[in-house]
Amino acid sequence: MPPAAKAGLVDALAQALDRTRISSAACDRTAYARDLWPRGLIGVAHGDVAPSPPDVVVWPETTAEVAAIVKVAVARGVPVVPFGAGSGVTGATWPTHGGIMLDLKRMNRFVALDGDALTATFECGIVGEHLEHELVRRGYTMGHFPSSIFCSTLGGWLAARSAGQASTRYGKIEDMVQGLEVVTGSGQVVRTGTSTVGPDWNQIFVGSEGTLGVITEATVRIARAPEVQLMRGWEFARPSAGLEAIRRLLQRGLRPAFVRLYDEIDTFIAHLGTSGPWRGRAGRRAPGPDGALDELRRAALSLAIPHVGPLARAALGLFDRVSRSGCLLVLGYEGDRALCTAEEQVGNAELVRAGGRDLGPAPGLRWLEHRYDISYKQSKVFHDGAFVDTMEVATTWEHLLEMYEAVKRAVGRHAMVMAHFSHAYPEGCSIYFTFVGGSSSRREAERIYDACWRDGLHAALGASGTVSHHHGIGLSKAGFMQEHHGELMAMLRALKRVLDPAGIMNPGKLGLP
Amino acid sequence: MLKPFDRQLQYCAYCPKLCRCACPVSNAEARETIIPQQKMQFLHLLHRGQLSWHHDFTQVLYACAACRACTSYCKHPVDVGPALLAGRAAAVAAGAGHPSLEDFDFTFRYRLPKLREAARAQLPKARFSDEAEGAIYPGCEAIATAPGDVLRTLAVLDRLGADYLRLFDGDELCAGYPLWAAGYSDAFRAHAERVARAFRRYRKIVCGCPACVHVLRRRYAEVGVRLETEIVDLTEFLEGFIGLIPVMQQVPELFFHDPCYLGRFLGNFDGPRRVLDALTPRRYEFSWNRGDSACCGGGGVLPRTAPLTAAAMAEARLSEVVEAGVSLLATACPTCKRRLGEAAARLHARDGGTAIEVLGLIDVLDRATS
Amino acid sequence: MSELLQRLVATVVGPQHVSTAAADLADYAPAGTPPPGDVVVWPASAGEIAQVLEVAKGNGAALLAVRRGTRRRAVGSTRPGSAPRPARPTVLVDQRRMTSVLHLDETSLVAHAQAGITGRALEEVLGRRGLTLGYFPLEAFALPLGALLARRRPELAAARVGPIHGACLGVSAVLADGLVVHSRVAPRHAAGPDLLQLLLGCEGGLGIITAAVLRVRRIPESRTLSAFAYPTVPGALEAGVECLRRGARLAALRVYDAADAARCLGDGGAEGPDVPAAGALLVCCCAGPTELAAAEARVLADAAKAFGGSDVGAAPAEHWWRRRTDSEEGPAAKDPDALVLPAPLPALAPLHAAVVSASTAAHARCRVSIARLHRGGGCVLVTLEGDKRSRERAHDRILEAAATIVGEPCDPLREATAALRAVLDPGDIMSPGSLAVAPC
Repeated sequence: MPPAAKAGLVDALAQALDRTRISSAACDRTAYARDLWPRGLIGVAHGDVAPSPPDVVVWPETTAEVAAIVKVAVARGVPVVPFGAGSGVTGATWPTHGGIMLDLKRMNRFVALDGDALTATFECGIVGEHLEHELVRRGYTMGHFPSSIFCSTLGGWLAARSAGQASTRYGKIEDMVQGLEVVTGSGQVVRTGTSTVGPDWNQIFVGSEGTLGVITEATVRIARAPEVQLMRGWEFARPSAGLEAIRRLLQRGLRPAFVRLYDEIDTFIAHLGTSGPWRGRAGRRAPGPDGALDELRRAALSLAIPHVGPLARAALGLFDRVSRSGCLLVLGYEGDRALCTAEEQVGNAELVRAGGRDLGPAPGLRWLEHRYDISYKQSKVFHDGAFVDTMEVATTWEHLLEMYEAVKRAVGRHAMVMAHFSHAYPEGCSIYFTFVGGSSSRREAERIYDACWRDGLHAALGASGTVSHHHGIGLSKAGFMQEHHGELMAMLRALKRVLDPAGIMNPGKLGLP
Repeated sequence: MLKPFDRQLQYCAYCPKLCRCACPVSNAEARETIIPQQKMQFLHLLHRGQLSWHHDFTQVLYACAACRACTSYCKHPVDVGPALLAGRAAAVAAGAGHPSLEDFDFTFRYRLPKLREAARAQLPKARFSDEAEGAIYPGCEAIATAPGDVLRTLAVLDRLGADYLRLFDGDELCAGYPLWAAGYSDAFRAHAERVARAFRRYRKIVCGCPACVHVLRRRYAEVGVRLETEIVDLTEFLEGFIGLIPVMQQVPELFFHDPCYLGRFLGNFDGPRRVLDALTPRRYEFSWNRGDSACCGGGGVLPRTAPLTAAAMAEARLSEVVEAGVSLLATACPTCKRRLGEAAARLHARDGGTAIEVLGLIDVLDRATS
Repeated sequence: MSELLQRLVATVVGPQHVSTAAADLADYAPAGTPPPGDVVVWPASAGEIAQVLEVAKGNGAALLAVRRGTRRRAVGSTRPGSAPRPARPTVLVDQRRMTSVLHLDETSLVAHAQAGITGRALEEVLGRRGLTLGYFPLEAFALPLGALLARRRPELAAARVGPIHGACLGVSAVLADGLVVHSRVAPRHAAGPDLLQLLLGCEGGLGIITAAVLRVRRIPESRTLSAFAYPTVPGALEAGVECLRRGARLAALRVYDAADAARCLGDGGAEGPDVPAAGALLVCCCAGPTELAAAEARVLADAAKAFGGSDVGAAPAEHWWRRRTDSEEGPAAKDPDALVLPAPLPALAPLHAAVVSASTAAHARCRVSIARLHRGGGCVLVTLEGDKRSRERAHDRILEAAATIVGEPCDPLREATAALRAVLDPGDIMSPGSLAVAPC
C-alpha cells in the first residue's frame, strides 16, 4: 500500500470505530500476515513468518461499524480483508495488497434460536467450538464438525464453503444456510433470506471468500441433539469395493452421518490413531501407540525427502505390508434412536452384501474419539523438516475412481500421497488426499509443493472433478478457477464489478483481480 | 533459559491453532496476536533471534493468565503458560519486560513486611506460631484483601476439630507466584529459598491458595529449592472431613467455578464438588467446567498487565450464572473469589438483576456449620 | 423487420423451424392478449440459440425464452404487473425440439437432458430404468425443464428434496454475449460462489438454460402409508412437522381439513374409504428400504399419537396416494378459485388460520389442506366455494392476509440484480423486463 494511502488511514478509521479497536502495531501486523496455508508454513520453517502484513487491523463490534469501515476503505481505495480465525489453508486471508484486516471475532453473539423452525442465528465471528457448545447446552446441534472446529469461525465456514465430518447427514455449510447479513463492497448492508425471486443470494455470498462483501450474521439450520450415535468399522479389500458399498448404501436412501473410507496407507495411519499424551481433558484421554506411527512417519519422510535416503528400503518394505492390509470404512449414524437403529440394520446388510467385513463398533468409536486428532500431526511433520498438505476434490461416482487414480499418480510423482473418501452423497463423493514431501532448501520445497498442486489439480479437473470440495480457493487455487468454471467465470467477474465496484474486497483471491 | 521449550515452541509455530478456542484471554480480546499459538510463535522468533527483544513484541508474552486451558486441547507435550512465563523471564533479563511490572521484584520484597503487619493486626495473635506440627498458610491474596476469610477459615477449622492448625508466622506470607508469573526468576529463586527456610519450622503446611500449592510443589523444585515440609491444599484438607461436617443448615443452590490451579494444575476436580455436595441440595455446573473451565482472569499477573481484559474474563465467566438466575457462586481459590466477586458487583451495578454472591469453599462450610 | 429477422434466423435453424404466423405466435400468449414477440424459432441446440442471439443482437431485437401454453402467474412466485412489451422486435425461443436425454448416469444417479423436455417425458425415460425425479407435485412435470428451472418455485417441492430446483446439479446456458456456458457438475464444490444459482431462477434474464443435470433416485422398493385423525388442522400439522424435526425423511405428507378430506378422500363411493368425521386428517407416505420405511412409519405413529392423533388405518392414505399419482389433487391448475400459498414451516399454521378467517370474513366457504411439506416449508392449498362474489372477495382477502404473513416476493439485492443484468447484458436483449421486482 502506498504511503500516501496509508497516511491518515487510522484517523479515518477512528471515525468508524473506537481507536482502541484499531491497531497498526508491529506485533498485530505480524500476527495477521498469514493464515495456515501450508506453503506459508514452509516459509515459517525458514523464518519467514510475516509474508504479507496488513497495514491496519480493526476489530468492529457491530454491522454498522463494519459498513463504516468498508466505506472508509472505498473512499480511500484501500483493500479490506475479512478475517475469522485465520485457520484457512489456501491463503484466502493473506492481505497480499496490504490494507485493512477486518477481524470479526468481536462479533460473536448468539442472536436467536428457533426450536420450531430448527434454525439459529449467530454473528459470524463466533468460533466453531463455541457455537456448537452453545447449541449443545440447549439440546441442539448444528451438525457441522470440520476438523478445524476448534480454530475456525462461522464466517470462515460460510466464506469458504466448509464441510463437516457429518456432512452426509447434515450437509455442507451451503446446505445449512438460511439467511445472511452482508456488508457489500460498497458498504451497503443487505439481508438475504428465503426469497424466491432473483438469484439465490445466499449461494452467491457463500463461498465468496470476502471478495464480494463481509458476511456479518447468518441464520443456519440446526437439528435436535442426537439421541444416539451408532458407530461401526468395516474392512474392505480395496478402495473400489468400499466405494461401491458406500454408493449403494446412499442410493438406497440411507443417510449415515459419518462416512469415511481410508485407502490402504491412510488406513494404516488411522488405525494407529493418536500420538502423544493428551493431558487434562477428562474422559477423552486415550493416547495411541506412537511407535508404529513414528515408524511410518519416518518412512514417509524418507520416501518424500530424498536426502533421508537410508531409511528408504525399510520404508518400501513397510508400505508393501501396509498395502496388503485392506481399507477401513468408518460409518456412523446419529439422530433419532428408532430411525438410526433401523438405518444401521439396513445399512449393515448392504455392506455385508458388498463384501465388507464387520469390525464391530470399536474402530468407529475410536475414530469418533480421535476425530480431530489428524490436524495435530502437522506440527510433527514440519518439525521434521517436511511439508504436508491436503487436497480435497469431488466428483460424481461415475468418475470417482478415475479421479482417485489420476490424482494419486500425478501427486505421487512429487511426494508421498494417501487418501480417504469422506463427504459422500448419493451422486458422488469427495476425496481427501494427504501428501507429504519436502526438501532442506526452501526454494526446492516450494517447487515440489507447487508441482503437487499443479499436477494434482490438473488431474482432478481432467477427470471431471472439482478444484475444491470444502477448503476453498484463496491464493492457492486461484489459478485454477478459470479451468474449473470455464466461461462461467464471466459471471463471477460481473458479480465482482457489481458488488465491489471499487475493487477493495480481498483483492487477488478467487482468481479475481 | 528457553532451551527446554525448543520443541514446544516449534510445534506451536506449525500448529493450526487448535487450542485457540480455549484461551480466555484471546477470547476476551478477540485478538489473533495473543492466541496461544501466536504467543508461542512470537516467543519462538524471539528465541531464534528473528525478532528483537523489544516491548513491541514481548508484550504478547504477558497476555496470558497461565491458566492452562489451552493445554486441555493440546495433544503434544506443550505447556504454553509456563513456557510463556519462561519467556517473560527472558524478556526481563533482556530489559524488555512489561512496563507495568517494572521493579516488580523490589515492590514484591517491600510488600512482604507489610503483609506480616496486616496479618498481625487483623488475625488472632494467639493463633500464630513460629513452630508447629501443622500450620495454615492463607496466601497473600487473602491476607491483603480478605482477612475476614482467614478468620472464617480458623472458625471452620475449629468447628471441624482441626484447631491444632496454627497460623504461619513469618515474613514469607507469599509463596512467590507473582514473581514467577512476572518473570523475575532470580528474585523468585531467592524468595523460594527464604520460604523453604521458614517452612522448615512446620511439618505440614495447609495452603489456602492452590496457586501457592502449585508453586511450592512444582516450581520450587524447578529452581532447585527442596521443601521438607508437606504441602497440603486447603480443599484437599477439607475433603478429609466429608461425613464428619456438623451441618446445621443446607446452603442454597449454587454454581461451582473450578479454579485453574486447583483443577488443571493440581488435578483436583472432584474434591471441591464432593465437599459442596455435602452442603447444598443443588450444585450447578458451568457448561465449560473441569478441564475446560474458563479462567477468572486472576492468573499470570494479568490484572496488572491487562486489567480490562482480566475484568472482562471474570464478567464473561459469570454470564451463565446470570442466565440461570442463581445467586450463589462457590469457588476454592482466594484469587478467583476476589476477581469474580468484584465482577459480580460491577455487573450488578451496571445491569441490575440478581446480585451474585461469590463464596469460597470455607464460606460455604461456615454457613452450613453455623 | 420481422421478415428480415425471419430470414436471418432461418439460416440458423432452417426455415421450417421459424414462424411469424399469428397462429403460431398466439400459442405463447394468454387468450385475448397480443403475442409477446414477432418471430418464433424452434432451435435444436444451444449453439443454434447462440447464433439466433447474434442475429437478434445485430438487428436490434430482443430474445425471449418461451414455452407453449398460457403464461399463467403462479401465486407467490411472481409479481404484479409484468413488464410492458418492448418497442423493438422480439424473437421468441421455444426449445420444444430440444427434448433429448443426453446422458443417464445410473452409477451416479444423475440425468442430463435438454431444457425442452418436460418433466413427464423425462419421468417416462427414468421410469423405464426404475428411476424417478422424486415425489414432486404432478404440475411440476407438466413444464419443460428450462421453464421449471428459470424460476424458483417453492410450491413445487417434494418432502425429501425441497423445491425442485434443489435437484439441479448443473446447467448449460447461453449468455447475452453469445457464450455457451456449462457449470461443472459435482456433488458439491468450494470453488467460489455457486454461479449455477445465478442461472437458476434468473427468468432468462441472465442466460437461457439449454440443458440441465438433475439428481434422480431409485423408485423406492417399499412404501408404507398411514393416516391419523386430529381434532384440529394445527394439531395434525404439528404432528407431521414433528416427524420432520426428528429427522424422519418422509416421502410425502399432507394435512386435510375435514371438508377437504371428505371431498378428496370420501368421494370414492364403493372404492373410497370411510373418512372419519374429525377436524383434520394427516396422511403420510414412508418410502425406501422396507425396514427403514417401517421404522419411519413407527416414528410417525409415535409422533402422531403424542400430538393427540388417532390411527384411522391406511385406507384413506391409500386413496390419497392413488389420487396423487393419477392426477395432482387439490386445487386444479387452472381453477381461479384455487390458491397455492407456499410458506416456511413456522408460518404454515398462522397462514392456515389467516386463510380461514379471511374466507369467513368474506362469507365464503373454503376447503384447505397443507401439502408439499419438507424441512424448509410447505404449501397451504385453498379451494374456495360459495357464490361468485364472495369467492372473489375471499380470494383477495386471503392474498392480502398471506402477504402479511409470508411477505411479498422480493429480491433483497434488487439493485445488484439489475446491475448484474446491465453488466452481462448491456443491450437488454435477454428477456427484457425480467428480474424487475420489488425491493424487500
